[in-house]
Amino acid sequence: MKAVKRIAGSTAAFIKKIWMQKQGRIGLILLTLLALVAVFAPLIAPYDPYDVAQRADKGLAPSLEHPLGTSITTGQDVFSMLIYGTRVSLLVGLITGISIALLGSVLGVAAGYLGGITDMLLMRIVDVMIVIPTLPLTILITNVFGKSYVVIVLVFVLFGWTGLARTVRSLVLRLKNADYVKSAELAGAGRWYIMKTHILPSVSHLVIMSTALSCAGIMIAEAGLSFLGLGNPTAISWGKMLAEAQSGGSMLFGQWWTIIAPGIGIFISVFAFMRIGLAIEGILNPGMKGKNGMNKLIKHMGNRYLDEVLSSMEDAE
Amino acid sequence: MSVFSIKNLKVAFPTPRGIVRAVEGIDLSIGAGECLALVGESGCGKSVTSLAALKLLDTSSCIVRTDEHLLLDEDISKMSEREMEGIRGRKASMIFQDALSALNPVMSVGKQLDEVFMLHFGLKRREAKARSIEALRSVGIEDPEARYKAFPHELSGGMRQRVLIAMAFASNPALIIADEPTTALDVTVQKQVLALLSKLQAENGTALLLISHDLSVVCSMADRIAVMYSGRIVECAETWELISNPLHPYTKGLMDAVVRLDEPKGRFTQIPGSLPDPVNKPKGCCFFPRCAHASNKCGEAMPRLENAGNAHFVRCCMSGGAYEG
Amino acid sequence: MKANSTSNMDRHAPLVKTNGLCVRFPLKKESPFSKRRYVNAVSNVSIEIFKGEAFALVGESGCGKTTLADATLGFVAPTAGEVFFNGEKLDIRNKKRLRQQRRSMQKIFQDPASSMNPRFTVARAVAEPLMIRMELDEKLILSKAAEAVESVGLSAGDLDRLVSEFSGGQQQRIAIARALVSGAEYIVCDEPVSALDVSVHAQILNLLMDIRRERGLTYLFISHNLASVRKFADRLAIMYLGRIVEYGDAEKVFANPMHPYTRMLIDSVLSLDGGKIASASQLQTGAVDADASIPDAPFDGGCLLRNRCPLKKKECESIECRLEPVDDEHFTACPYYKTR
Repeated sequence: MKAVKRIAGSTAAFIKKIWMQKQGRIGLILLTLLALVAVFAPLIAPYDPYDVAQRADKGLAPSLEHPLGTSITTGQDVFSMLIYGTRVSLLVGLITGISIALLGSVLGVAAGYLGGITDMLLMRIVDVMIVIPTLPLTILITNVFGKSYVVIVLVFVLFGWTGLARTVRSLVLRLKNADYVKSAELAGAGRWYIMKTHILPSVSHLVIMSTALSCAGIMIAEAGLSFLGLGNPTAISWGKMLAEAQSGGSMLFGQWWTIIAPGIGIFISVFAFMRIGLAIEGILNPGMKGKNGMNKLIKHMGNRYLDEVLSSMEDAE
Repeated sequence: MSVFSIKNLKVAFPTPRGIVRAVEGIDLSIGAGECLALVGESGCGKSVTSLAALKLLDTSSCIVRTDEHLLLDEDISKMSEREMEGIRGRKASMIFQDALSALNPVMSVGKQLDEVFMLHFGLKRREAKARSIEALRSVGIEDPEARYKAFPHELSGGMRQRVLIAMAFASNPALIIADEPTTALDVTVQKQVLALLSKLQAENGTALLLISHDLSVVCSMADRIAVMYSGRIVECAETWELISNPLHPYTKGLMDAVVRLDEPKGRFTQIPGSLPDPVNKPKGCCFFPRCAHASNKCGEAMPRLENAGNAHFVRCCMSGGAYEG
Repeated sequence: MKANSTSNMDRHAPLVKTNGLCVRFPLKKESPFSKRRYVNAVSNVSIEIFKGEAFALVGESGCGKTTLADATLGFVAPTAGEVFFNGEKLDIRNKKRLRQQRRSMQKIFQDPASSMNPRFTVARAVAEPLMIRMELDEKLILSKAAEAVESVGLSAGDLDRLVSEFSGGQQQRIAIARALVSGAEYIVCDEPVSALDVSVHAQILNLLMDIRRERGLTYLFISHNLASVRKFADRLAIMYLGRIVEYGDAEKVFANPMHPYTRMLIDSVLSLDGGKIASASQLQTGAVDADASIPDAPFDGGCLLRNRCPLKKKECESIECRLEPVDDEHFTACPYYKTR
């Protein structure tokens, strides 16, 4: 339990570090806003898009009553759909992202640290998973098990953990052979101690970054699958909004808002996760960040800054 | 006539803690066939100097100033990166400490040598191969035809360094900069690699700038030695003159740090303390805090680098120099 | 039995003793059908390290000196032979007992930057061996860490700084403090200065020397710099391709090196007044640089050094090299030492 507490503590400290960066702060703020929108969707949305009684005429243009118009096929309020859609997209993204992170890191650490037969077995599975074409298989699975987000999440997790597991494994292998791990073993440390003090803290940063990036990827993939009609047909998601707009011929009738609205939703959420991912990358590779920082510093301060450096050199004469 | 000369080189790195003054006004000049060594502790600015000499410093993260920067009488201070690419490898090349990371791991060493010949002499692959094998033989690699096909990780550390030396000499450059060429090697191999470097340098009349933290390595190679401390040259003289008549206390300390084989068992002679913080350098002589012979005045003004006769330059007032300003 | 003024060595009691120790590692198979090949990293090594002495192990990289040292720490399983610590056999399979025995052992690594977790503060890095034992309460551990840090010449104020903020020399001091805090009596110093600047060597080696004298520690000092070994060590073993080729009292070996390999190592020490290297025409010894690769065959007879040896004879192809006494504290594996 103490180890869990420590990892939680280090994660909290890490989120603070992300917050300290401009990139990360933008991402965190956007993500919090999205989460609030998702949780309080019924309070924010002017209509309940699931309520058939609240439907208006189909394909209305934006107006005060319907800020983003109404959908072309069902006459639902697009703005309300957008807000309710946050729920599905964010939930699918986060649940899948976090499940992948857990599965990938646990299996990666197991393969790397235990080695031997565990490692061989897991890596062969990874090799097989990587060559399987995911999209056709997903279509097949949803056809067999029914169109639902549970199935989509499971499929994403099933195929998503391999990449992370490989990266984690190679990191663990490197850490395992570090002199400081040997030194701790020499001092009598057991496997569990080395795992929790020397390996997991380093791995956790990598995992957080990959979670942020994979959440973004999965939200796009979810939109894609919904667009193909593989999502839950009764739920409202951004992908499904796009699909309906397309099948209803929005472009044909010039009703651009039905396409732009879900697009903006997808863009904002992916943008938020990407910002966080970039911020973490900056933390993990300070060299890259430093260089950009320096460029900005010079640009910002211009000649005055150069003068200061040069005069400090003259002083030294 | 000097092949390479740089005057009043200054390099500064802005960091969040403040400005790191890595190099504070260094003059170097190397003649054809001459070997000049730059000696000092890590952090004294010697590697930065070597990188600045071929304009390899990333100018987006540091500021470099020179009054004069000549290679073969050409002013390279104003040259663009593009023009410098034509100079590096052709007129001046570099030998790094870590041969394994300086070589391409997925290409055989022979192919890498071929590239140099094809690039600089416009040779065809087959002609280049003949030259490469010849070059491998000239750096003392036995059975060069077989080694031609070897990948870097298949060779021993000494072999890899030899390959790197072959590549550096391949285009017969006027200047070679060797940054700690033997630090990563075993002592038994070190001497042979140094001898090889020395031999090739003499044969080709190359100007060699040798960078090292070990005075004993430098003594076996260099014609002249410049001792660097905290971004400045504190002493510079011909090798024999410097060794037999060291004037700066830091040079004496470095000489004592080289353990002689005939020393009896017992304590080692040590230089107390460590390099000053490059952000907050002390006032006055940079060696003042560690110097056993310092007077009060040394803590106030920086001594000038002055000629003590015999082309022996020293930056120390207690050895007959004068303060700056 | 000679009383040594600079150390409190006790020649009666070997702290570490190896007996016909062999360690071999399997190589990767070239094809599934080929026979598995092995590297004999350590072959048939019998040495004794006495309580309170500084024992030096000298050789080129890849000669097996680190493997031998790791075997004395119970870190590498011997293929044959045995290791005794304080008279008791080290049994790698008995993890519990090994853990207890390791309490009196420590290792100082070559590269201090990688031997301590860069995320750790000095306090945590130094105190880690005690934290792992979980016997003392945190306050006591911290005070012990502070004490150790001060004994290596750093200040207690440095305890809260990150290990990665320090220079190489200071990091090696921290590594020494870490080795001291656990109260080890046997410390393997694996090339403790070769990653550092020459100007820092003296500081670290002096520190190690002082600590040994104050605390009566025993060192296994791995190095390839013979000049430092001469100043530092009481006894030594010269190792070549997994075998000991010369062994004994350091003074005697240096005064009268018997094995050609020892002489090669001595010759390779650079001096300040040696003059320019090319003029000394040291280039002819090209064969000496031949790659030192460890033969995988079981002992095939013949001297392993024969391809590099400047004094090679015909008989060297077939002789069996065993350590033979030159006198009671000096052994060499070259049978022709008498004729030179």
